[in-house]
Amino acid sequence: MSDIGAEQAALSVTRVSLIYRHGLRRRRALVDVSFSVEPGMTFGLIGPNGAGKSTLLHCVVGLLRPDAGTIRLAGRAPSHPRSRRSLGFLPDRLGFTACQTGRSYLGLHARLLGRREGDCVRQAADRFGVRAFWNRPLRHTSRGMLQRVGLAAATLGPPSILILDEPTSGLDPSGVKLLRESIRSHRSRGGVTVISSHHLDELSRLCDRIAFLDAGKLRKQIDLRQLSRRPYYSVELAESADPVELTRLAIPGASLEEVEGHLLTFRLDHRAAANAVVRGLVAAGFPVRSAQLKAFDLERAFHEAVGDE
Amino acid sequence: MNRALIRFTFGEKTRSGLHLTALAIGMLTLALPAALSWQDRADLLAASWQSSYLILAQVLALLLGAGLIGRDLANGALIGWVARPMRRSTVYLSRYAGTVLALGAYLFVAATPLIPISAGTISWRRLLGAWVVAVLNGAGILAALGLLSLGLKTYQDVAALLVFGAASSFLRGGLRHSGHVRAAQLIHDLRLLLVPDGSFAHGLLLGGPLDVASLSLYALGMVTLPALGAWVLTRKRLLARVP
Repeated sequence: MSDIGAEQAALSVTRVSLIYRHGLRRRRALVDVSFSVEPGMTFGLIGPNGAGKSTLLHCVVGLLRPDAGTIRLAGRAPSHPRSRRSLGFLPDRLGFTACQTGRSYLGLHARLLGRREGDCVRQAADRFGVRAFWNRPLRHTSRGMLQRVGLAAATLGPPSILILDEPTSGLDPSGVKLLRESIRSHRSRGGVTVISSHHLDELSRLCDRIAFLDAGKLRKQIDLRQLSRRPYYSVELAESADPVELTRLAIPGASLEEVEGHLLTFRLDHRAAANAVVRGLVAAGFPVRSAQLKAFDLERAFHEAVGDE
Repeated sequence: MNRALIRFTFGEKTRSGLHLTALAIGMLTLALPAALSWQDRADLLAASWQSSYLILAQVLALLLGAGLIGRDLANGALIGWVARPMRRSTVYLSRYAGTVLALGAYLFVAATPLIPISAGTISWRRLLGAWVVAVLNGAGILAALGLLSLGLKTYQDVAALLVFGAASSFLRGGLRHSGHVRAAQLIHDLRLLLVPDGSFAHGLLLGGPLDVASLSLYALGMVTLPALGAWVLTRKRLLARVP
């Protein structure tokens, strides 16, 4: 597979707004959304149901036209066919005609990209284990199998920008593993991936940056690459301690972020400081029951961003 | 237009069980009277099969064209195609062209049994002429259905076209009967424009005079309707129903 040029792979979304109109009713689906994705980056979109994630991805692909703002795929507007030459898109629901099999679906999409069927299709099918059932009509295949076909079609080419809407939906663990490997290999070639998902663990494993979308607004963006340099250390004490006494503790390379009953959360300057935290607590008379190193607590960040209790 | 999508559409339309059944029934309808009557009523056969053939073309066009683009919008297939490096107008025109080609193939197959059965009472020239007229007629119906399918559900578009055809015929008949010949002609012309009718080619292919007015209306309709459909799809703001 060829290397992907840095200039081609950039995606930028600037002050994008969109309103859905149903007769006289209007609903603001996106409000002033801005972000950019640099080459080689995996970008995650998180938000509650109806937050506008799919709408935003449809705008990026050119299926929806925003009312305001600009989107650039490799420097071009998504409405321009050439901008979609380097694009792979997996919609939240794979659409196909009644007669299509997995093989004919992939074959058609390869030809629409200007590729010949054959190696290109076989490689994409093998990447997601599609060949075992690719002669079966798509209307008779399961949700997970459809998802595999959709992922294989999205990675045909290969594209430099991958847009995946709920890619793990319906996938079994081996399918999720294949997806993870495919995204990592795409990133290693300098490709951009944008993923919308509710699977927070999966996103925290794959993404370099995560954006929180709620009610059409981009609430927060977190760069996980920077956070993973300063991991969290969650410590459970055997008995509750006085928070004032705990704040007086001076542990080199660690700072206390939160005290919640028996649970303490430290922020470490480096991973090696974890041992110093346990030693410091025990020396100060706080017996430790368990401890866990976390790159980032995405679930907590999600609830904070969307204002959940 | 995109060759891959045209080829795919042709394959899709020619493999459908419903369309093949319609073709088989159509072939029987054409061939059976021919087989029964050619020996003693060859003149009657030569006169009557052509109108049956035209009706078959119209029925096939309605079946092939139902939900021409609207079905792709509803099942989400269009999303996948539009996300590829193609203009929306290319998708529209390729689907249309593939369906016209499929109709042409069906009509060709439907006409072939007539050659041995009629034993020379229907000439090659006449057969070819009938095929061209039928395809042109069907292409006009498909052009109208493509446009209608952008706003109506599958088979609602067919129903709308049938209602339009019946209403315009009724109105035209009424106007002629009451002496309003020019108004009746206007209704006729409007109908030809909105559902282009290829019957102008019939006389031409058989060496008769060319009906320039009908040819002009047909050409105008066949340029306007697909172009309008492609434009509507291009301007459509929402291609997908996003929750």
